[in-house]
Amino acid sequence: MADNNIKTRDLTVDEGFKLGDFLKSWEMVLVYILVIINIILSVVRPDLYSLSTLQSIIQSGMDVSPLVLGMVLVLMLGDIDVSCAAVMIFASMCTGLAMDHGVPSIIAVLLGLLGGVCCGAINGFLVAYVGMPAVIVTISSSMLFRGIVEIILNVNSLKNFPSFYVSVSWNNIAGFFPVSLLLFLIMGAIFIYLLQKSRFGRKLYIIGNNATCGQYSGIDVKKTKLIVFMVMGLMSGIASILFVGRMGGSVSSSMGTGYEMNAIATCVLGGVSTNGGKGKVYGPIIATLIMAFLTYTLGLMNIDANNRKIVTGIVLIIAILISNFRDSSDAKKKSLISAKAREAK
Amino acid sequence: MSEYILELQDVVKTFGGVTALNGVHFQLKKGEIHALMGENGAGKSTFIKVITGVHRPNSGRMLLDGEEVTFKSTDESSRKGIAAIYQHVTAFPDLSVTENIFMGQEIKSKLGIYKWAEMTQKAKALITPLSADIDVNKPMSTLSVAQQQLVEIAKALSRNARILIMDEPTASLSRNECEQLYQITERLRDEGVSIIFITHKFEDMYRLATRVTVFRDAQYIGNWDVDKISNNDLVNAMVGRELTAMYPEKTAKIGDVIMEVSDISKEGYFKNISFNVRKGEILALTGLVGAGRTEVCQSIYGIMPPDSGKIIFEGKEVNIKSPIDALKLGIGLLPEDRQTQGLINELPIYQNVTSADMSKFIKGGVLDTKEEEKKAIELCQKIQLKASDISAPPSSLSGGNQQKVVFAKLLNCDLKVLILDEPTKGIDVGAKYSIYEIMNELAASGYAIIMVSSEMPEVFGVADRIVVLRTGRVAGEFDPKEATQETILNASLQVKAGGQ
Amino acid sequence: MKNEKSIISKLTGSRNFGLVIVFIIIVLIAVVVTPSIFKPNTFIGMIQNNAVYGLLAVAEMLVIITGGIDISIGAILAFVGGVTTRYMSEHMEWPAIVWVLVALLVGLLCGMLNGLLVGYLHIVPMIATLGTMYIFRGLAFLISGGKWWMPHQIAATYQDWAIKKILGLPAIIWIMIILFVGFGFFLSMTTHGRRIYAIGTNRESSAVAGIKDSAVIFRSMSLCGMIAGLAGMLYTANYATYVYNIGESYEMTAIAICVLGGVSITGGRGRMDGVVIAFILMSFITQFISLLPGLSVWSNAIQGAIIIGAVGLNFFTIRQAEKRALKERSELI
Repeated sequence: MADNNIKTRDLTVDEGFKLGDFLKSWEMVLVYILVIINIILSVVRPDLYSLSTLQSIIQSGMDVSPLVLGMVLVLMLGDIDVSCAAVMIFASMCTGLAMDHGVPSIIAVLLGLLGGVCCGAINGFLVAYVGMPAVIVTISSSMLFRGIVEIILNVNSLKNFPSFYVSVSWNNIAGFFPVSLLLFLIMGAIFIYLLQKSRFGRKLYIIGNNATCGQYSGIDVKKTKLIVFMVMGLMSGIASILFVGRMGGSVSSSMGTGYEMNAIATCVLGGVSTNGGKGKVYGPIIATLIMAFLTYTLGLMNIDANNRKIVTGIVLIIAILISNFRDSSDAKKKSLISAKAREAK
Repeated sequence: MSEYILELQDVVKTFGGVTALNGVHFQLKKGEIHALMGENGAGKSTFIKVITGVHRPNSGRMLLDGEEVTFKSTDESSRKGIAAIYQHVTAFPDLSVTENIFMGQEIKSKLGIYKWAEMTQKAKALITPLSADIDVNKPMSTLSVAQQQLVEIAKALSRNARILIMDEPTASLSRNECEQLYQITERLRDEGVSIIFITHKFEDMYRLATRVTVFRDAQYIGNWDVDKISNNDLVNAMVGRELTAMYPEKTAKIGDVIMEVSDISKEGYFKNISFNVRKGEILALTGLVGAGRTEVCQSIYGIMPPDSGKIIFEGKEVNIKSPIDALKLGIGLLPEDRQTQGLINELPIYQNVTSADMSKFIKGGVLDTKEEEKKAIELCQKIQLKASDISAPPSSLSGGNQQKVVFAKLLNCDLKVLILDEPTKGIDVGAKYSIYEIMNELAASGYAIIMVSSEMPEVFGVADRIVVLRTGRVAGEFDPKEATQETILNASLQVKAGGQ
Repeated sequence: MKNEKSIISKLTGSRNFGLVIVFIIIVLIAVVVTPSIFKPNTFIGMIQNNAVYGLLAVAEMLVIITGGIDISIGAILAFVGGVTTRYMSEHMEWPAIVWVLVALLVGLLCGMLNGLLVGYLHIVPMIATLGTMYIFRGLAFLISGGKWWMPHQIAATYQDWAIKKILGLPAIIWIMIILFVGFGFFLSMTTHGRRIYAIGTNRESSAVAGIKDSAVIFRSMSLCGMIAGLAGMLYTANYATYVYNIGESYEMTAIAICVLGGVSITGGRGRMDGVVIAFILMSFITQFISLLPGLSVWSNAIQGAIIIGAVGLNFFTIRQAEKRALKERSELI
């Protein structure tokens, strides 16, 4: 009987590492893209392709990186947070105001982070416990948070920030390794652990794919969502350090618009599905670097910042098309295999 | 003219390398109700889609009124008078009944402007004979499942269907609603509509059909006059082997009461429910669909905690506010809807199995996937789950094996009470037996089991005790050795004085 | 008695209920604090200044009802505004209707690109329009070269399309009213309009009913782009200025108006009357705040708070209705 046939293959654990599959994975594709951009850069402008250029390329792209990492978790749930740029500015304001009032800088920084976490908690509460759609909540809370900054700062800007802000953004360790990149890699490692190795991460995958099933499996879906939004708020707070540093230590209410979209775009390029439950942290980490290189390379080619947007947009759409195409061909293969398995039974 | 209004000869349909229909035959007489039976995956769904033109067959002929036809789309088949009512009602919940009936074939002016008045009137004319209390202006979402099905029938009639295909229409209907549907189906037959009635339930077939065709594993097995084939032969035809017994022998020893539910109520769902369950016992919770069985289970499990009443677990009063509390105590639920409540189809089987209790796989703060896989394989082997790869998604499995994944998930937790909500729903006959075996084994190893079931034979075949619910209240408790199917049925149907 | 109850429950159950309550409260405050807002001229000016949001809300509505979202409309507005302004200033003598047609056409093309990506290439709407938003923003800069246009560079006939008074109302308001009425009719009375709802409420059923969802989405997004394009031209005509970064985050305001007006973000639900009320409410709030001395910086925060409040109120009323339904049902047990 065909039955026995399947039984002998029962539940074999596939432990083999398949080099072919690895080389074809989306993360590796991103690495190839990064390498290609580097080759183009070194060929087109060999005069500029130097250590200091590489350093400034990376430094210029790091302020969005905490937002990217936080966004990975939010997208994993199938939610979205378009308020993170506003939260980032809000957190900057908290720190800046505290400094103005003579609070010790370490406490001012903590106040900034706390401000971010509180904003995230408001978002998370409305999404998880009131049950409102994340897009709506974060669009309106984005107006609210930025609005509060507008009310408090009006047209003024804050200029009094801890001195280490600028050095985090612009200094290199031993004149070689950007501090901001180190910070990014450390945070990246934490997020890889969080999403891919820990129980918390598994819960996110479960909720992102099937929240109802998660609830039936004894997962506190609401609490998990709240925590994720609070983490997003915290990351926005950390982003405020790099952002303010990059801006040379000043902040005003109209700064940082569009950062939320950059963060989302980077995640998507990194292979995170906006439908939730799919993607890893490696992809967005590489994608963050790609975005930095892309922006800078185009800048070197004398393409205006506004026109670079066209390229960013096209890259984003092509990346999505490719990954959609890969998914659908994967899905076809899978459904064929499962259909065969059923037939064999 | 042919004797048959619809005839399929030697139809083959393959998807990629997979054969979904392998040379099937089918003959539908004018004005008959023809039952089509077979296990899940026998090819019934593909068969409908071939008839309605969703799929085109690779080879074989389809004759309509004796003439060969090929349909390229559902549009063409519906113009020829073929309509299908799919298993999962395919409605637009936010749109009105009228719009649901006419969507795709709207009555409109040349400019594409709706003629609302005319459509509403026609919709009323179609619906009223089927059910007088459906308001055609109401959104579809306000209707019950049974009413929605009537709307689907009205939709088919609006297209002047001569051939109506009904795909398991009674699957989620209560007994009363089934009877209503039977009557409507018979009336349609009397009006000259030929009906293909796809069903799992023998009851449907005996009540309605004159002939029955059986498919198995994409093959045509045969067709019979309903009154000339015995129950056993039909089961054999569907399963392909002798089922020595429909239900396994019980071996469990019944121990002490482990959980007592006392006087629990939930506004809008049920009132003053009390019962208990003992170690090693299988308690059946039965009654009509909508009697509150699922809701009682969900209340005990903490999905929607009861408003009042007590749950006493192992002699202590407990307060279960969420599934987390329930699992901690040792109460697990196998939910009614496998696909949306039980499984995560995008994650591998082993992650499904471990999802309800991951704590034991944490090592130094890291989830040990190797351990997870090992444990999952162990559990799956214990319940004889057939899968080729523990890392494959559950969607690659058959319904019965998917259900076993959910079982394995429960076994991964340290539980004492299992609540199984319709554990064999949508599972084919052969696989049901092995689910019963699992239940028996679990009971024998000391689990207390509460099983919700609508299928009377199953209740009698498996349960040690039967609690009947009726409109949110306990209607009685019975011993299956003494009670008959009639007594249970009476208990679940009996209406309060003063009307229905 | 029973009838009475049903009217009340109908009222409170309506998606617009929360909206109307908020509106009334704000009007009452305004009556006391800034009575000048009720002068006809102030009122008309208020609507005129916000008409672009009204147009964009209609555009966005067409897409949200399909279950999608279009965050590129602000960029389309900027791009199309740039196209018409630039070529108009180079050809001042041409009749202004040309620029209206150009705006409609270019907007349509932008919308078609969105529709292609979402409808036929199945990219998630949020992401597809995020991508095209970048592209249109870049194009807006490219076409304008980053230059400013000042009122003296804008032909009077061109400006007339927004500001010329017809029967006492500026043209832009008439255009907006025509769109409100026209698309209200379109959505409730025509086959294509109803199919937009069908797609939004259940895409699979639509396929079974023989509705080509790709085509419906394509057409909806194309129309959305077209309206956004028109809004771009009217924006430049109304203010008689242009700079490439106009319309930033206007899509958010448009989405906010839709949601406030009861359009379900998950698709399938929403009516024009709700959107119109929400539009007037939003305009009113903006105006009201700007009239309060020193409070103009509050407008973003207050708008955000009001949206959260109104949507929250909506959820609350829906829950109350559910609770009531449960109570009624428990009487049968």
